[in-house]
Amino acid sequence: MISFEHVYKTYPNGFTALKDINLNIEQGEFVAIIGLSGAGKSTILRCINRMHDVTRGTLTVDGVDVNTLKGKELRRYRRNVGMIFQSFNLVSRSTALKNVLTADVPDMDFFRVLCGIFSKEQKMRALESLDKVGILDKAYTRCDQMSGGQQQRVALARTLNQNPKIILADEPVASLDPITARQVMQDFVRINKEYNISILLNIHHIDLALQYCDRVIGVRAGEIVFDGPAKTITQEQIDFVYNGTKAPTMGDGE
Amino acid sequence: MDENTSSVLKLTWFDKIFKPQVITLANGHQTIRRRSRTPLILALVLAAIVLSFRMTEFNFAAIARNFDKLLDLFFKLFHPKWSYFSKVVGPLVDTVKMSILGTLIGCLVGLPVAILASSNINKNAVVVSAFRFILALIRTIPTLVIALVFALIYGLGTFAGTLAIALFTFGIVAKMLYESIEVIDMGPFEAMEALGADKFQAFWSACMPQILPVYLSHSLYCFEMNVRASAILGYVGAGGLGIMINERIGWRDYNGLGMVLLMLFVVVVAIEFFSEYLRKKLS
Amino acid sequence: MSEKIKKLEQAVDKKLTVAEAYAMRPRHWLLYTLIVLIVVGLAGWSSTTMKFEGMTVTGSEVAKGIISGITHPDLALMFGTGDTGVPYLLLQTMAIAVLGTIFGAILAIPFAFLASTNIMSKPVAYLFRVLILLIRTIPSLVWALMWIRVTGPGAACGVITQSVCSIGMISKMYITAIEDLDTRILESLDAMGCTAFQKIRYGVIPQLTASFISTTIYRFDINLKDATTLGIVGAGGIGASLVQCLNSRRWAMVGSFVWGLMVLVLIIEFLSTRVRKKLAQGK
Repeated sequence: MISFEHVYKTYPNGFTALKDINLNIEQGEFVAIIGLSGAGKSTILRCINRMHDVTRGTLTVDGVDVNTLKGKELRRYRRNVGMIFQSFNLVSRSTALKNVLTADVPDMDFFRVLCGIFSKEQKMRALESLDKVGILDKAYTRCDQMSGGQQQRVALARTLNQNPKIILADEPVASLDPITARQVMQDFVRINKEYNISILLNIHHIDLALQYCDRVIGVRAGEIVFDGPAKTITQEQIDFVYNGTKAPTMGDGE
Repeated sequence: MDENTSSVLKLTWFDKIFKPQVITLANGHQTIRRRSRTPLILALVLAAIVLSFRMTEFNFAAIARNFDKLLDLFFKLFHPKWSYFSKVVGPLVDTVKMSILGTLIGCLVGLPVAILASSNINKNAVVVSAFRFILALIRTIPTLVIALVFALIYGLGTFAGTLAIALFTFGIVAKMLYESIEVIDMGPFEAMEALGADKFQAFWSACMPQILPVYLSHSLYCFEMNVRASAILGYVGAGGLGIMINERIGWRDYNGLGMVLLMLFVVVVAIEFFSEYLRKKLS
Repeated sequence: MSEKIKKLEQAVDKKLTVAEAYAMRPRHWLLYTLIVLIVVGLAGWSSTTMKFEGMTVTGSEVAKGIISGITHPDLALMFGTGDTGVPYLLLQTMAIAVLGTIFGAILAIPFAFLASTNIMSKPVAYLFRVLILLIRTIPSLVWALMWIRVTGPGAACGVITQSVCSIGMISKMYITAIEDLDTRILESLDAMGCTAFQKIRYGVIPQLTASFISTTIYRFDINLKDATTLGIVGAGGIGASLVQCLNSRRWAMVGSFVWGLMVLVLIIEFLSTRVRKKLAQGK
């Protein structure tokens, strides 16, 4: 369970990104965070795995106060929290399998890390992760030869391979075309249901969020202005989250 | 799915010797992994290194033993003989002149040849490959050897050096240029042909504007290289700074050599900066 | 200038007539004439030192000799297996280039990291850039003449000379690769819980290896050509024998050396281009 209690975040330049955030997310929920650019969506995600520090308030994940973690403990904690990025962040010159294997690196001893020696079990597990996202046949293909959707799946497989309890996804479909975006969203749904992994994702496309996610959190200028099931949100509430401007959609891709 | 992947996989001779491995997951899905080439490549490189050590009789100990000689030499190089300045100016200017004229001649001849050697403009495959082969041959012969041959034919002096640089520039500029010409946009050319221009008119008005900036940029780049290259041509008697460098080293006058190298350095850096600035403006 | 813009704006306001638009056409011809004048001026200035005195007395004989040498090479030498045969000398030239390139590629790594602005502070990076520029400006022949004091004449001198000379170009290309590093990967490794060392091993090194190897192969190509030149000052390889034969006018031998050299360089150039293309596209 992730819980935010009166969380504030102020950047060194004085900009207050989060104001008094209170939030509880149970294990296995599939949550979409919506809002304008700069509203604080990314900051919420990045506080959860401590890529950013919280300025005030407490953030606990499964009873652990995230802000107190340091060094080794922090790295061990991050093993349980997978993160996915808009730009995939893969080593494009390496094969898909090698990218997925990097998820095992933090648990290996120095010598194995240095020489890049992976055991057979590790390789098989990595191949299984690739199979889970349906791109087993691309295991030995270099990432720069794959489409955007395939690359995002490699990134998803890499995250699955670290066996996380929570997956944070920062605009995972923003650089994909409508059809691929839907496929990747379906992958997320499947993983969420089959493995009971909590998924939090930032998303710009309101239609995708409403279609695939269970719960929607609307963020506006650093404050939560909507929190409820995706089914119950009304057009007025969406307009309020987006400050009266029109909410972006992916359109009808199919 | 497994049949699908195996049909996609193109087998090379390597895969026929070292058969690809089929990996089956717990759920029955299969994937195919080619054997890594890395061990074979590493073994070959290692063998080449060992063989090279033998053939060159290279050993670190001998170098470490005599290293103080080089340090002494460097010490003198960094204390250049300033009075030497006036004697260096003449040959240095000669070197620059040789490279200017050589570059100009080489580039002028290079342009038409490069156009003839571009497969997207010249549709005659025989002519294209003939020109490319000649260019490749010219590039294989070291500049210094070309300079020596010209010095033997036309006598010692800057003339032989200029010719050598021109030939060398011709080989390089033409190659760089035909590679660039082959990637230009041929759309405007087709448009010109469609509105009734003949091949030459279409080429001149649609392709030349695209080629010219690249051509100038390549020419400047060659000029940069040539200043450096022409500095040593004198070593075989082809004029310029090389004679002086040879002389200073022969007399073990390293302070004098330091002055020569310092001035060469200043000129080369100045030319490089200027040419880089121009090339940035061109692109 | 501003008056012109004002005029143009006014013209746009009241709809331009064709004649007015023509009157305001940009006048490039001034710039073009200036460029042409400068180039012609440079050519004229540099040709002042060229003294064409016709061929030397033996000039035509040399020219004829070279042609006859190339058409009738010394076959015994060309395929001879001894120490003085072309195959052995070519192999030695290659050995010099192999070791020189590998040492140079290794030596260039620290230089490149120290001279990259995204890793080191600016003053340090620029200091190392100047150092790299210095190494590059001194002609390889001069380096060879200096190293010969340390190693004595022979192939070892060629190896160490090439190791030093390669640093300049190789580190310059490494720097470009390092400065193009995709740092977003480091962010995701961070989110996974990797230490600094693990981030370098799996985030930085995989991105660099392919381009580093490609650069090294390219430099090998250049070093092979350069190694033939180094022989002239006694640094081993085929160059020494080639120049000796040229000076003593044994044309048949010159012919066989030139043939061997051309074939070798062409083969290596072909292979190196192919391997680099493969590296860029992925195997």
